[in-house]
Amino acid sequence: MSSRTRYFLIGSSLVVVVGLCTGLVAYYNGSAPAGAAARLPDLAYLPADASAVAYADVKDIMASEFRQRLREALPTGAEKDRFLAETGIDIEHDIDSVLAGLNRDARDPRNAVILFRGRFDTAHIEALAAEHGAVTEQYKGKKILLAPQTISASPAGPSSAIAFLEPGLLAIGSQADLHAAIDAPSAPGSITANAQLMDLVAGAQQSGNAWMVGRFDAMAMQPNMPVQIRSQMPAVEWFAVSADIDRGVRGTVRAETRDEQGADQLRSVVNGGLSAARMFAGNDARVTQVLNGLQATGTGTTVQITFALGPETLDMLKGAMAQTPLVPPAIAK
Amino acid sequence: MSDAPAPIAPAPPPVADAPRRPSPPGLMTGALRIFDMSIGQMLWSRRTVFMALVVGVPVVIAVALRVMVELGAPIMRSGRSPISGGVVFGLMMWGFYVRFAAPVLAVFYGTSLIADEVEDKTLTYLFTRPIPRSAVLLGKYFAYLVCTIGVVLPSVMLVWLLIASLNDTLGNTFLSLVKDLGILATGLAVYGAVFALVGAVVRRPLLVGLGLVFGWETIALALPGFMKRLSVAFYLQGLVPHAMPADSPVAVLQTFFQQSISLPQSLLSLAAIAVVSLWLAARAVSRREYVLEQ
Repeated sequence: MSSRTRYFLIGSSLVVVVGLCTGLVAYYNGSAPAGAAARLPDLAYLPADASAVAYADVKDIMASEFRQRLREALPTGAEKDRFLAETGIDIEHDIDSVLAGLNRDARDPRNAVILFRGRFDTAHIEALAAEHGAVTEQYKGKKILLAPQTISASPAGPSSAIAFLEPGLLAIGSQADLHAAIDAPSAPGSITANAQLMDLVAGAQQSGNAWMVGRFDAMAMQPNMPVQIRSQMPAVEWFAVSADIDRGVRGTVRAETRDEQGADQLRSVVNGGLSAARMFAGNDARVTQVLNGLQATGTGTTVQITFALGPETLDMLKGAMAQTPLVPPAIAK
Repeated sequence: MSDAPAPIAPAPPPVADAPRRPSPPGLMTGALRIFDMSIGQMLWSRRTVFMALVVGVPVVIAVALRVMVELGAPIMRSGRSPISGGVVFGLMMWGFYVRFAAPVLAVFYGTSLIADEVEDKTLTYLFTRPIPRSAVLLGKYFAYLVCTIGVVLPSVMLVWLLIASLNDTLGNTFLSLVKDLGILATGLAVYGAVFALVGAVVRRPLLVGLGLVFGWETIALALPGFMKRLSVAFYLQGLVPHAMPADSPVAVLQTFFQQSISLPQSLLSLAAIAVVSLWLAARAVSRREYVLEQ
């Protein structure tokens, strides 16, 4: 074997070995969890005991055709204006994305930390908070603005607080939740260590610009969860809901059951429900069109329902809403 | 008279043994010698330029993709959802390497293992060496394997390093890479053995080989029944059936008729195809009388 052949083979082997070693190091530094966390680094601020995670790519959704159509159909803005007046944040223009982590004790829906990624006028927000009587606290080098009891009617709850975790990253939650969020990246207790949840997050990230994943038992404790759903789905362990909002809405609802038997039963219930809905829909074109976009699939312990609302469906629903008054005439009188 | 002792006559020189002929090398030793001689010839031939082109195109595409993403082009999105680099890498692996590069390189190299020596009229020099004829084929097959793996695998590695980290992490796709490298090496080995057999027994091996790759291997997968079991692609597909993209009518048809085959079954079948093909090729080379045209 000539020396140049030998050098070529050594060089070729080196490329393969160096690549494999790089991959091996990357793999042992965290595989699936790091995949989701790499795409969404803000996950590191959610504490490990969070039972559910929700995300919305606000910038993407605000720019979507669906949102423009929805705004034509439902011209609301009171909540947005109130949020702007109280916090100085314009949801439509200042925020790129929202990430929320619901704590394990999910009976209180306000028991969550919400992270806003975007462009914030820190001085303006601090001045507004000071006007409302907020108290400033320093925790591990981060500034937290604690709301007084007088503004307890704010959306974040009675003990609401605001913290600037990074430039362009603002967190809202209770004082304890914000402390936990500040602790999470340095402590080994970040949610990114929860491999099963991160696996679901990674899947949801692939399928839409708005999603929510979590433990179903934690969500079932929510007081506003219908009792029928809570009692009918004890076998569901994890759930993931994702929606891709663009011209229309394409979404997926996925449930992971504890065993295959539970999944079979749930699939039967879902398919039965869909069949019944189609039967009762009769000749109603609107309902039929919505139902046609629904599909139930899944194998093993997974039950999945996909749905699609095209622009034409939205137009049809918009037309129907225009014909039907929002307040029934009897009540309006 | 002196009593001087008579000089001692020198002892007759020992009768020299007849020069012993070294025993001829065995099959593996002979094959290794042929490998050592052939690897350089194979690596620095014009055929390698073709191989570099085949495996260089995916690298160029990967570089272009990476540069465009770094410059902010929104190409790694499907609608509004991001496309994972691992998915793109998987598609490139199947599209470029497993379904195209491996069989095509195997056709061009495998069919020429013996045919080139016949064409260059140098086969006589190899056959007059004191090694089994089958060692010639085996040594050339090993040289083909090292040569193709030595060129193709670094190309795959570069594509992976460039693409896998887009909207994903290297760690997340590492296991897929290892699996894909294994599948690719297996594909090169099995296809190489099959086309070595074609090259040893068929008069126009290149045409037959291309017909097998682009004709039979594609059609057989779409046929119902047992016919697909007579193709290498069926067993390669059995190694990772989920990775097969269904992006063309033929692929969809293949998915429709797809029969499940387990991983051990696939591995055993591929090993059997490679061993039987090599054995038949070695047998053909040993028995066949090659007529070198003057």
